[in-house]
Amino acid sequence: MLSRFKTEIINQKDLGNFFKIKYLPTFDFPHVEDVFRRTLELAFDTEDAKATRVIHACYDLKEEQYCGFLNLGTTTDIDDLVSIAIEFIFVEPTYRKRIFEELYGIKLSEYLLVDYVIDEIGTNVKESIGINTVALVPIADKVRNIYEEMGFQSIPKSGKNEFEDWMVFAI
Amino acid sequence: MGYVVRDGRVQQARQVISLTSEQKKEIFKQTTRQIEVTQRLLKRKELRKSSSTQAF
Repeated sequence: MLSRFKTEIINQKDLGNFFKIKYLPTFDFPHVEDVFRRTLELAFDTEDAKATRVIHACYDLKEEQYCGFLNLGTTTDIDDLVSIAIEFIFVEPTYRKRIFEELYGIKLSEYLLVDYVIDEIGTNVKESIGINTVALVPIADKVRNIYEEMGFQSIPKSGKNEFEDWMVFAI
Repeated sequence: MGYVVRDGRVQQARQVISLTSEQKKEIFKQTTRQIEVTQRLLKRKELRKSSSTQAF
């Protein structure tokens, strides 16, 4: 079975045009675009080396269109432990809740988080520089169970709250 | 950094602080669910590998 989805890194110099010309994400929930803008800034600043995040866009070769993207970097927000951070993940509404035969029976979101970030990127990073965890913040508590299904765990009994915002996956 | 929508507003995610060494160990140890997810991933990789082999 040939691969239907291709994930590519968007270079910082191409980012401005990319999200204006090549791919206009269909943000369909309140506040999502706001979070997108705030996290995009982390991938975009050339003034003083603040650009510490990278955009990875997913292209559907069959439909010939972009179908989602990730904003990736690292974080030390979990008690100063270094983790790969998924700052932002977005899947186009028409690709959500669909199981893809080309992905061997999983959703696009699981492919991006598990097959791409945890396996393709995370395994290499773990083996080469010893970062052992992938971390993310669910945009709202109601989607926390989606990430739990994919293996991410809320950090048990952390801090003063029942759980903090971060979730982690041990590679 | 991380952002969360709380009380109808976009806010920066709370940092995790003061974990005990036991809690840190828990983070680095795969949970039962993570082991299941990883095993399913390995099966997909096997399928991908065998289908690409058959294509040539």
